Amino acid sequence: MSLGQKINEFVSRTRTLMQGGGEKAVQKQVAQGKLTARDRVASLCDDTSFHEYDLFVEHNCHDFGMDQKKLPGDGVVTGTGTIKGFPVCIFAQDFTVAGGSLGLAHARKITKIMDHAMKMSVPLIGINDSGGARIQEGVNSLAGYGEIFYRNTLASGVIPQISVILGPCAGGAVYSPALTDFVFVVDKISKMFITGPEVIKTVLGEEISMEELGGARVQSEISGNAHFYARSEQECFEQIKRLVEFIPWNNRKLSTPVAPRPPKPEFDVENIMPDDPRQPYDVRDVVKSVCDDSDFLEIQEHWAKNIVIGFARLDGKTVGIVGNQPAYLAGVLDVDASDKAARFIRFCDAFNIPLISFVDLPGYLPGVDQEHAGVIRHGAKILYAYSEATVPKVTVILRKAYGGGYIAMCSRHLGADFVFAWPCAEIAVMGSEGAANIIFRKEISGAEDPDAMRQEKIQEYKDKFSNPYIAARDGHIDAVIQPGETRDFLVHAIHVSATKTESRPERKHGIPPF
Amino acid sequence: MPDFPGVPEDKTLVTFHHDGTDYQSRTTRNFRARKPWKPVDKTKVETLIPGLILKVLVEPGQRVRRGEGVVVLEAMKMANEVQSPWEGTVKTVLVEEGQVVMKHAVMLELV
Repeated sequence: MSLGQKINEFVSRTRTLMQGGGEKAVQKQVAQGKLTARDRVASLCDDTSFHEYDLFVEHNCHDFGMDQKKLPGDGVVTGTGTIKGFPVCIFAQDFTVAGGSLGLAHARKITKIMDHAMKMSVPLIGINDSGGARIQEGVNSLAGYGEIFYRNTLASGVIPQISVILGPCAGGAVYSPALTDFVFVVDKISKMFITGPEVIKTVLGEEISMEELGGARVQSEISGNAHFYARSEQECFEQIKRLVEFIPWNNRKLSTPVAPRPPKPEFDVENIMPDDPRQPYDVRDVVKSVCDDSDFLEIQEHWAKNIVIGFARLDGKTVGIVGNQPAYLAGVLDVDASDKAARFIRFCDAFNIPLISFVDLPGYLPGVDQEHAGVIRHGAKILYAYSEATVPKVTVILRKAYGGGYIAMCSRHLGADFVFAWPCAEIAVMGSEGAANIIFRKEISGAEDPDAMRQEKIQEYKDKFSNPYIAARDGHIDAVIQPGETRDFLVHAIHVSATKTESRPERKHGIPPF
Repeated sequence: MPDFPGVPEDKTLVTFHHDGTDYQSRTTRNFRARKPWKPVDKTKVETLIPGLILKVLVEPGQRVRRGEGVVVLEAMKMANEVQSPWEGTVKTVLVEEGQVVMKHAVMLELV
């Protein structure tokens, strides 16, 4: 055979494999509003930057007629590429090939690209679109999953891991995304659950559709399993590209800085806080009024809305934002909000991203359901995560900072490097009403008109403590600043914290209240 | 030995049917207390937090959009504007200003 013939043979072999599950299966995929696996990686990566490997890998299963079945690429596309110039390792399950089912060869292609991502210290992106385990391969397909989960765990906090759910992701398969840092879902396309509607019906007699059980909206609004929700695959890819620009390649690097930009003039920090301390406002307006270009990438936007998390930049450098959101549930901390913030804080700490916390909360949410849901244990996560973090930590108390909520929200006592407070800040052990009722109990009950006395004492307490000056007097906050000075103080604080070093006692690992 | 003093141990076995097999097993307290799933009722606007109704912003017959403020609820030291989770026309207003409401109280019915 001449070289020309050999090349022709190679081209023809490749062409067959690149067609995935064939024309019919591809048509079916496209009819559902889905791209094929190769189109997906091509859309996500910079033009022509994606390079595919392991195209010729085949499974080694002989049972149930599998020895007669050729599965192109064994149902998964793997390779490397760049996103906005940043190197990434990618795998994308190909639903057109045997429903993207996972057998051992399929899994080994994934673990190989994961190992590569670890060696090269670059982010890993996994596109999930699979019917689940390849049943014909039996326990070998379970072995495959296990090997992936193990690597997800070892890579956690070393390289950023992104999961994109673009089809079904059911049963044990959900645990790979669950172990990664960011999960992206798309409306009407993503479906995630441990047990499907059929099983739920037979075991519990409850009837529910796939969409209501584990659709994109449910995962982003109710369960909190997803971090980013998009209406189309293309929108989802744009979100991923934005995220990749904010985060570093690995835990030994800093995020790549960009040219600093001032906030947009329509976000005026002087005009956000209402005069009445009971009135809500949107804390995201505060974030946008101080960060570069008013560009804030919010994470888990639809779940536990009473706390806001996400990435922004100050003077061109990435920072992680955590802010109580008075616009929802008065900005209280509850089970979900604590969970959401704590995980994000740990991501930022692992990847050298300084933390900025905006505080305005009345405290933890009271209620039997919260107590019985374990708000003690979940609420502790936020304290743990802040205390453990050694990245620069800067806190701005915008308004209310009461009781346990004050401590939890990155107070000086949990190791904040800088704590600033606006003049409208109220930093106190508890609300004036509760405090006055306890401190002045005797005066109130002994008074001729207890109600009048109560009001007088509440006012007295308010006048004395509902301000930032007592905390400033005792050095718990470093500076009282005007809203208009916030950006300047934050930029400066991040600048002078760049060489911060803080060590922790040697240990295998801590035991966070999971 | 009972798990807790004075509380008789519940040894009732329940049948769980899973993947073609019936399993006999006991249940946990949380399992027994769980509420079966119900489809979301898009005709009701409920409170998510207990509080005091400061202001009702809509009246019967009024059309509301999703995300539109319908009630101001004072809770946790804040005057919270409750947004309608659904689109619809207000059929009945079940709360009045000055009323104290519990969590999950129905404030409005929509059609």
